[in-house]
Amino acid sequence: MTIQKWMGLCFLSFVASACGDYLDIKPDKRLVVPSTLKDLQAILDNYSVMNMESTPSLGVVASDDYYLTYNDWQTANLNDRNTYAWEKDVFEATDNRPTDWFIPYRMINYANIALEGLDKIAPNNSELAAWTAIKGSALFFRAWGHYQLAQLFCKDYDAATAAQDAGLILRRESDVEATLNRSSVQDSYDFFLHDLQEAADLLPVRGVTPARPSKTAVYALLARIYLQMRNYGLSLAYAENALALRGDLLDYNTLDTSLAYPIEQFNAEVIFQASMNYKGVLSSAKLRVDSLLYASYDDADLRKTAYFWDNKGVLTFKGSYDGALRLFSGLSTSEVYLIKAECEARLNKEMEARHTLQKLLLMRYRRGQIPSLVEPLLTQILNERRKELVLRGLRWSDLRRLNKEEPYQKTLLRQLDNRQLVLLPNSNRYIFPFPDIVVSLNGVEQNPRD
Amino acid sequence: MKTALCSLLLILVGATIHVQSQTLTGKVLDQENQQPLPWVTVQSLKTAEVVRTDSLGNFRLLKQAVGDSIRASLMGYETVTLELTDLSKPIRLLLTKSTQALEEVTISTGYYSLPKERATGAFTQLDNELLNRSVSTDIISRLEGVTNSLAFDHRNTSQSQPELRVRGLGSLYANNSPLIVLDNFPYEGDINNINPNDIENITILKDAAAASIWGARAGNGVIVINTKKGRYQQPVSINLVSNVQLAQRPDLFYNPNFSRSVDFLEVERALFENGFYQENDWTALTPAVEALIAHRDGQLDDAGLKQRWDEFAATDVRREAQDQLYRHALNQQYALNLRGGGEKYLFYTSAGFDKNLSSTVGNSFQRISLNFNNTFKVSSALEISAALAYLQTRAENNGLELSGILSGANQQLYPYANLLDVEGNPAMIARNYRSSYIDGTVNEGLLDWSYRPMKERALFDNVQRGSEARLNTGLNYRFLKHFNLDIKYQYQRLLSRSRDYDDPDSYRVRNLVNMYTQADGTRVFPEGAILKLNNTETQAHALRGQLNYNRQFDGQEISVLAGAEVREARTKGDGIEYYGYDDEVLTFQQQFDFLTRYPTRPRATARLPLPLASITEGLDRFVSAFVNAAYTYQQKYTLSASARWDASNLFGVKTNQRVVPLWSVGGKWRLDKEAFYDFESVPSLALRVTYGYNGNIDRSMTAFNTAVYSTNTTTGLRQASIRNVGNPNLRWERIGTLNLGLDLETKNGFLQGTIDYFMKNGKDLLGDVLVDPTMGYDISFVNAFRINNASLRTQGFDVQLGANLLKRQLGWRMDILANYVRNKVTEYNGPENLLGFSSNYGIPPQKGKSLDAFYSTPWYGLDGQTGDPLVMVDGVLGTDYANYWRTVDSYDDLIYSGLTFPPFSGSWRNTFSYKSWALSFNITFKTGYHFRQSAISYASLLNSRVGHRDLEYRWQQPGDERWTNVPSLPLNVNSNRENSYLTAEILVHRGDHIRLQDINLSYSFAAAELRRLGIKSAKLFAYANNLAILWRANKLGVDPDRPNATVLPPRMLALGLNLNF
Repeated sequence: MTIQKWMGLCFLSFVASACGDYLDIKPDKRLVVPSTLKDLQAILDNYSVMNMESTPSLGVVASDDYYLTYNDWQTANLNDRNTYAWEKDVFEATDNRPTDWFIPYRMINYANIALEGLDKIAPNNSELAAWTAIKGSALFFRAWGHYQLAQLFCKDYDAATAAQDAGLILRRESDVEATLNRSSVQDSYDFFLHDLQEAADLLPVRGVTPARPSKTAVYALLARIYLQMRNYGLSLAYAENALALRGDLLDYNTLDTSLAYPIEQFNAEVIFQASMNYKGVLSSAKLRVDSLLYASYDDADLRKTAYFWDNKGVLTFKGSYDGALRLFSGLSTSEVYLIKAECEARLNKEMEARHTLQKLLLMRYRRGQIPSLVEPLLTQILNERRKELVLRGLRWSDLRRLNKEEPYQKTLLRQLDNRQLVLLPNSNRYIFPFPDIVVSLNGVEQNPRD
Repeated sequence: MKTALCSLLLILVGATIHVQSQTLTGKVLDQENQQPLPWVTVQSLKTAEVVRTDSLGNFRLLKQAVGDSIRASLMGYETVTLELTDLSKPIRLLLTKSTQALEEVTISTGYYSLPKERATGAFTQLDNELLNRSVSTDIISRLEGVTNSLAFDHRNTSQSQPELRVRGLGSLYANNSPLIVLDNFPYEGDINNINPNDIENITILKDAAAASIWGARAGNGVIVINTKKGRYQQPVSINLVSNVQLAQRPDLFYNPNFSRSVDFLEVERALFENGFYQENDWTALTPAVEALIAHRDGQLDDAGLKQRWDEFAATDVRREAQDQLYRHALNQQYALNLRGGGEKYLFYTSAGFDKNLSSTVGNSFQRISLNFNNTFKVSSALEISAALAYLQTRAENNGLELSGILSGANQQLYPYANLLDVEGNPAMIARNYRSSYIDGTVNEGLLDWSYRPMKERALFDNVQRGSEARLNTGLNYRFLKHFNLDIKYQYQRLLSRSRDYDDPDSYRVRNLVNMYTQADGTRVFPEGAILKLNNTETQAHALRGQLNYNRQFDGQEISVLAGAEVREARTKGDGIEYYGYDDEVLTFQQQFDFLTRYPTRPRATARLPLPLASITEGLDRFVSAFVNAAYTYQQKYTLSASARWDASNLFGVKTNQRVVPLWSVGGKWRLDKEAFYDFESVPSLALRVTYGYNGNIDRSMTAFNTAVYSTNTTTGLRQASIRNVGNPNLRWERIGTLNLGLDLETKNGFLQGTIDYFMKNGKDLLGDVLVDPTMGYDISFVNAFRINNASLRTQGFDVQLGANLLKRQLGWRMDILANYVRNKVTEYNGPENLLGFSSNYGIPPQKGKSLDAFYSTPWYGLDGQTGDPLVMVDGVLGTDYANYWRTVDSYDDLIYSGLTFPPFSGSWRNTFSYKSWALSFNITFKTGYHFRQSAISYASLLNSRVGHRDLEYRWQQPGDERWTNVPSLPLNVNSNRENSYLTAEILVHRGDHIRLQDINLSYSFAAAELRRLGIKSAKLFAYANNLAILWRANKLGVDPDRPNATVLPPRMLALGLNLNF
């Protein structure tokens, strides 16, 4: 029996060991179940998800910085045609994953996966700095994604009605089987403001690359959001905080404006790097800059040659802070200066407002040719804001915001063949509809667009 | 599980029974040559004990007495009965060959072999003769049309190989292809590289009892391929095969996705007049659009335009392409093998050489294969085998396909292009830039920027070399009388190296150099060649230990095997690309500034493109334990049972999810052996029944979120992308299979038949879940989110009949195969949301319907004024496509269009022989299915110039709607309008057809003439396939097996010679 026993034991131990380490080897070395700090950092460093083409461009397509020829409009895809013409329907009924909706939620999901991973790690002393920075980054990205969506898919923030206005579907976790509901606008803003306030204490002043969130980026974004909420006091405070950490400006006098794209990617003004969903209608072959807007630039204004390209009488845009054809939609110091100036003007700190604006314009005009500031100051600041931040994804939010103040209201007009299209101030077409698939899967309330 | 297996093993090992009595020994020999005969069944008619002779023809029977009778039988020999007269000395039995010699059919599963009479499971076996009936470079294609219950799916034209289905589908989304086993182990390489001349036979394992020994990967059936081996006591024989195959040039005019020049030109003119074309100084436009622009700008008068137009209209690039780019394919195949064996040694050695010149000029394939297979009998108890197989392939991919001429430019070639100019020199094709722009750049000192495809063909060199070494060693040790221990080890090493070389004069290099040429003439991108090298290496080890127990006593037979197996396959790959390469002196450049954005021509800025660099490494591991037992009583009743436990290094799953146990049981009843059985006309009749579970793995599914690492080129940081949505409730797919079978044979082998009914119940199948985009999971990135929420029932019949209708001077054998298989989704809890339904979008499975079902939208004709397809919204006909598609959200809004894959198919094969001639032809049929014809996609036409034959029949003016259904040309892309036509019911046609699959004609030389030349036998043969569709239900001339093919497999004729020495 000894032989048989020996063989039996042999077999048993073989099977037992087989279950163990032998099968713990990964089938592909590049695969991980994200769990270490290294993995979580790598998730947030996914440039193609978190930065590149990570923000929606619906608002840019629908805004008045540019126009399309009838022919270019006709040959565009249905989604872009509808958006451009402010149609009732926007997304194609058959589109199960409209990009403009999906990309911010994907960014949010990555952030949630990182946050859930962090919850399972108890950092030791040497890991604490990394753990804190990752947590701050994830919170920033989650807020940034929700903020982008709030500019398109729900009403502009109004303190009086925010608690009743239908808000976003908030994603607080990565669970794929969670039920989805619409929150209120107030809840939506509270949610991402809270994330940002938490992130501000966790992030380093500056990241190794502007693709990573930083404390400066948090302040700049808070300044932007409070401006949008018309809370000028807080907005100014955060703008000052941001500029205290970083106030560098590019001197446009040093740019070679003859280049196809004169402004570099990751340049000194970029606080946080992001670009928007690229669309055919936004390509230099189709996008034509509004001639009134172009005419508003002074000849001494270097932005006129740095931003625009006159291709045989057809004006198109080349001033992306992404340094190429994708449109920049991140945060820059120039925007923060303009936020600061606007808030100062609105809070009747005229001296400071002038000083702030001057500081920016010094870098934008030919030496010694800065135009004198005219009254009213706020109007001029808003004009400079429009000229500086052209095709940066801010125009749509500005229209929504300024339409609430009668002097700054604007009615948008478009000509398509013999059709005259009008978008009235405060029209509910300023709020894009949810994709059909989201409404039909969750039974959530659709935005009215009549 | 472990404990159970172990204790079972201990019981088996301990169960040795000792009985001794008066013993008869003897030897069985062949009457003709006096050689010993192994594997002869010797039965005592008194005790009913059955034994088999060993390899030297010896046998031993216990408890024998004078006056008893014994009977010796062997397939192919006349049975002999002998009365015993003297037990003191060994007896000699002489068997004579029966007039109709039939080889005994043995079924091999890769773990064990058993005679067909004792098999409970459902098997299909293809012998060497059937495999050699057709001619091909690979082995799998020889199975088409002659293999019971194996279906070939040719619908996916993007794959070079058809997908295989054994008995229909078992899974919704997991791999539905059968497992391929070569010489006892799953094959890791490309099975198409195996030389078919080295294959002895193929067995298809179809039901649970047959396949469950392969466990978790056997859910879709198993194809077991055995290579040739020598036999003990076999004189050396040499076999030489040589054949040449010649195929027609591909017919480019079959391609439906191609417009006539006249139609294409009309479209271009209409689009031009509507201002469709974006004009700038550089972006290339087609010659017709250039002519229209020149005409508009006054550089070309009306007559000039007309002349150009007429020239274009008279040109069809397919004519020139057929001449210049394609040829008759020519495949040559030579194979030589030696086999034989002595008392202690057997061997098989072979060498093969294949050379294929494919139908595209410049593409070729070569293969050399070598085999050395030796087995030594060290003692009567110990046998050791060692086999080495080596093959080497070389494929040149230097051809230029018509469809590939503008690939990379995202455009199809315009139909009126010329490949050669009037003088016969390579002509220029408008690719990226206008010729006016190109002319200007030459003056600026740039390289010639023109694209001339006929010149390009000589300017790249893409070669792929592969090699494979396979070492099989085995040890078989018999002990304790009834036991034998079998240990097998296989090592496999696969190498693949590809080298893609782009000459300095190639368009790719010139284009990059010009793009990056700076205003001051500096060439930032180097002028030399670009070389790309890719290597992959797979090393696989497999080790199996198996203990067999075989015992025959008192008319009973027990065989039990138990064992365990470990396998791993490690694949490593790397790739690298060199710029500025000089093939003469092997230098290249490495100093580049990849960070600076350079101004590029015509007008942009860009960083230098990063040269390719990649490293991959993967490792798959499997551990299995298995046990299999069979018991036969009085040759009448056989019971079989098998169990297997599988584990694998699945990633991102919980430990218990890595393992799956599977089992099967089966029984067989030989009615013909019963005393009451007295049908003399049907001397052989058996019934079989089996039930059990096989499995299926989807290795890409995980229980946790998983991510994959890469390096970002913009930030230089390491990044991770979420690859899978974790599913914590992930389970293995299990497929329960019931099989009922009947085998019969009539007197004198006139008719042999097998009929099987099967039912496969797939449980816990992974089904898709429509994920809300709000969840933020990138479903398109790699995997859909799937959960075990579906069940699928597949059932059908397999019928195989063979009849020897004439056996005189004129012989006639008929073989009939008929397979019927249908599947039905019996449970599906996924979403039934149809938003997004389109012609090429897979619809979610629907409970109660087949997985092969497809659906269409109703057709209401074309609008009489605009030629737009009409749709019905709220009972009103119109063209509100956006609203129409919003209403299409359930199956009620669609029309069921039938099945896309034939449920009923079969073949009718006739073989006639007369004197030295033999003729065999095979006719196949498929029925009960439908296909959607390809139709014009205006989106493809407008975006990438992909035309369609139907353009000719498009609606052009009011009244056309009475005779055509092809919508009018739209001036912009509207995918909703397009879908309303592409999914319409009018595009669905019946797929039923009858096909003449192939013909084989052979002539065998008379033996007497050959003997003088030292040749044992010689056969000349001709073989033709892809011959004709004899009848088809559709009137379009479409091959319903390949409804979307742009080119059909050409008719092929082979001539060959088979010599035996």
